Amino acid sequence: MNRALTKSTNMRMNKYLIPLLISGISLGQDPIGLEINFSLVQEYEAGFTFPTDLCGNEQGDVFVLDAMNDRVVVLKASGGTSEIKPQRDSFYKAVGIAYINGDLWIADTPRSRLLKLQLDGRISEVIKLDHGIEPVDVIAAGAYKVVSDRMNHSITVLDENAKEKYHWGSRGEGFGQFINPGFMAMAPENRLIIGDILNRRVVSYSQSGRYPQVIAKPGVERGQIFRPKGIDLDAQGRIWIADGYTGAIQAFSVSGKFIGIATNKGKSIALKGPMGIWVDKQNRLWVVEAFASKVSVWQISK
Amino acid sequence: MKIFFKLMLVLIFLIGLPSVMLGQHNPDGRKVSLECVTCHVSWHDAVNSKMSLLPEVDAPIQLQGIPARIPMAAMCFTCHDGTVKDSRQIFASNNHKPGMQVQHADVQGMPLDKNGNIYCGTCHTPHSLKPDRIGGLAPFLRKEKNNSALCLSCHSNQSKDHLNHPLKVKVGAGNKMAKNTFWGKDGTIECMTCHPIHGTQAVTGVQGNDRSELCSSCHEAYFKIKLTDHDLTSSLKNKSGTIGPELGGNDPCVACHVSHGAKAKHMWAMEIDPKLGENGYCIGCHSNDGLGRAKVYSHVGHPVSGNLAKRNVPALGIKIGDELLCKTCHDPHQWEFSQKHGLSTANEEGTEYTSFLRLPDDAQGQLCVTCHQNQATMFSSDHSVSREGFQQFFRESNTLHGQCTVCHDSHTDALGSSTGGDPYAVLCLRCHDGEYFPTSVVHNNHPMGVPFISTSKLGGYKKDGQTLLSCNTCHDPHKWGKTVESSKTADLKGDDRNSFLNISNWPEPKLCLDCHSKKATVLMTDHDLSDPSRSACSLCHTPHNAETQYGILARWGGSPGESFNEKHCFSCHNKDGLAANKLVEGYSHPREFGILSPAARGQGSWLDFPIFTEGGPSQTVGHIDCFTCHDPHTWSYKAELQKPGRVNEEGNDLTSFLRNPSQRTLCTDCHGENTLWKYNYYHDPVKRKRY
Repeated sequence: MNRALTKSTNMRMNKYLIPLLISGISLGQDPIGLEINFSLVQEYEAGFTFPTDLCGNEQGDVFVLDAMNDRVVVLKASGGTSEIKPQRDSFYKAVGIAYINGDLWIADTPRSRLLKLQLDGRISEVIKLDHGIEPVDVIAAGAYKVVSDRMNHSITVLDENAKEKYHWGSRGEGFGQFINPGFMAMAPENRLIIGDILNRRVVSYSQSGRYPQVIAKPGVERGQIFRPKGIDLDAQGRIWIADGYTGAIQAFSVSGKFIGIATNKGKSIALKGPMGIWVDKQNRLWVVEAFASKVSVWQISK
Repeated sequence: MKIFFKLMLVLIFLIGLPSVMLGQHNPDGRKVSLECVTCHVSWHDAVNSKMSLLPEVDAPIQLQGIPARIPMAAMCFTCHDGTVKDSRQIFASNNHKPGMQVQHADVQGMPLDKNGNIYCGTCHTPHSLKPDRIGGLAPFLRKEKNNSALCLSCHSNQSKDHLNHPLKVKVGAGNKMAKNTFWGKDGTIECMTCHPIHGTQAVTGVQGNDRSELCSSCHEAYFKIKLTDHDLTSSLKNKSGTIGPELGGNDPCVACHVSHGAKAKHMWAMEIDPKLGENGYCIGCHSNDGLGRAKVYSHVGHPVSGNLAKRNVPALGIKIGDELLCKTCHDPHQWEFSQKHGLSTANEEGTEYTSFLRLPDDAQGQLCVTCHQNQATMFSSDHSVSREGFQQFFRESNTLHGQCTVCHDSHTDALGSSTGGDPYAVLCLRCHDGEYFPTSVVHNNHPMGVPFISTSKLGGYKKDGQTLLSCNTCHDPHKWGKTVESSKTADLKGDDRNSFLNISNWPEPKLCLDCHSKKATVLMTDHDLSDPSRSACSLCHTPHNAETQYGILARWGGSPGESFNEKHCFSCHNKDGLAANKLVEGYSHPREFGILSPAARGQGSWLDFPIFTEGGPSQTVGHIDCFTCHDPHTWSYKAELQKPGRVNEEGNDLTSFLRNPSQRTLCTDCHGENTLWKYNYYHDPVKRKRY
């Protein structure tokens, strides 16, 4: 596959799908949504300096990328914290982190590479990315890895051998285009949910960049998004999206229906510069509050 | 079917239209593009307050009367958190962070928040030209940073040259600033070169008060000052009661230089007396109450202020017309020119090789000859310190001197160690009166300290408005003179052609005649005994270590005679001497009779017929001697007969080096009418006894 997938595909999409989708959004959205109660479980500061992302494993350990301090902080399920410092290397100013098949993967943004980081700090694999890609986030898509790229405003898919399989997207406001794609999540049926930061929207695509589905549209009201940042799905299949400016955490369905907004004591929560989020098996939402240099943990009510 | 499908599309499109038709408008009602609301969050139209997610903010900025959300750091961070651009290090910095007070700055034309503090928008605006456009101001700055205009909008008081580190100067490629250092156009220094405005440090490479890392990045050569006496962090470290600037850590620069707000040029940390000019920077410390009072500058040393260089001297970096300054010879940052000298904090005493000299005064006299090239002829003479006499002296006195400083001391007196009287004699006799030098002048020298009249205006030493005769009247210690051997002059015995004489005394005795011009009558007479190495004077006279003080008569060995004069004359006038054909058979006037001089008798000058004692000529009472009747310099007392004639002309009573006619002799006092007989046959031992 080449960069633009195919031109004819995009043209067909623009001709038929966009109006349908926009209309669908307008007709299908619940403008009110639920107020989903969040209760604060815990906050971690741990000497963070503007951490950006986090991920967790099956054991409930959470890994916070504190790249300004060139480390990953482990918030252990058993309590306590530790840190992983890279041996003989650095991921200073990296942005994204993912836990994939038992390994930590870091989107080493300024150095155009992905790093596979062992828990002892050893970097066991370095994937150099082409095209000057500055990876913001990395997620697993089956055996593949998907990388969002703030430099080219595109999405790159790597195969099981970490070779670039294809990439798609360009700078723009149309579907299939981005102005700074950021954090991502995988939804059922291999739907790739992408926060399109400066287009102020969240859209899901097929892995190859087709069949866009607007999840959250631009705006500063409930059910809208202004600075889409962290994205994750809970066990119920709800797509949780953090808004980096309003500080809101909102839930949407995979079909783009606004489900509800996280509230605490009757008011929508307003976190300080929320970025990466992760929902654990206990239905707790972990969120990096980057602007406050902390991580907060919220219990999502049933 | 097709028509139905198209209608459905139109219907669906119209239903969905409102959601895409809803635009954004600014507070003036003007429709704005989607791009605007990327930041202008308040421009979203028709935001339902109940549905609004806009956080409550205490906005310190008002735009068009409305609290502004955009310029707040929280908004900036939504992009600059790494997802769009990464400016986290800036947000992490306490340097120029939002809310910072502008206590010391004079803010001109830059917006501040409602509290008068800075915020992101003080310096930045997204509405400036994009950085990739010509004239664009990255990163979205209100003013140019490449020429420091941005910084100087608030810190204009820190831009004045000399009192602050200069801007817009190009730095050499060998600088060791960090790779990400900001440079102005063409690699010039600008404010942000040293002050990364959002860096973790206010100034690059500065730890506390210690600027060593920063300064050395470009001025590494100046860090040769470390551990020298000018490194006050070292030399004054353990001294109490010091005066002067506070010393900051291990920063060797801070004692003298401050980066901003200096009190004098060269970013000088201390007050300078403007009357002292450029030398004031040195004298400020090297004065009686200064930090360097142990080495007080003296005005009697090498002349500096007001003296201009007469030639280009690349080695010292001076050009014709440059004023001579302390720094002409001294590099205050470098104790020893070659950097081979191990330094400690021991405040060691300087030598001609150290002492912050730009070049050493070594065996080649490197420093001094850069200007005093004409004196370099000395280095191959017996006055070179490489001669064994000097070397032996150095070994035994455990001292070491350079070619020039062995005699000259730049900071006490041009001829060091003279404490009054004749400085030249004092200086010369330091060596020529000792055991190390074969040319000691220990006795019977040419008279010194006397006034003299020199045709060539020869030098001497000044006293009471007079020029008195001294060593330098006849000698220039820097110029050996004509070298007559093929080898260098080392340990050569000098003669009238060299011997460091100011004027060559050969073949004519020009040096002697420069003062003793009347003695030129000896030339071309039978007493003119000049030869290929000796002038007419030198056979009879020697200016140093003579046999007699009077007349500085040369040594005569074992020649016969009763008196000095007789011995002197008979050294030639003997059967084996140069004047063997003019032997003197009778001589020696009886000594039992004292003779009154003409002056004592009131009959003329004592020089008409000088009489002598054992100590020399006497103006009152003495004895008759050879020179009573003869003047060896004058063939005839008659001028017309004095003209040079043929060699070995036979004399008579008008010539024969007689001083005066016989009728003016003293002899008549005792000999009455027999005088003429006695006079005529004085040298005939038989006839003179007839009467």
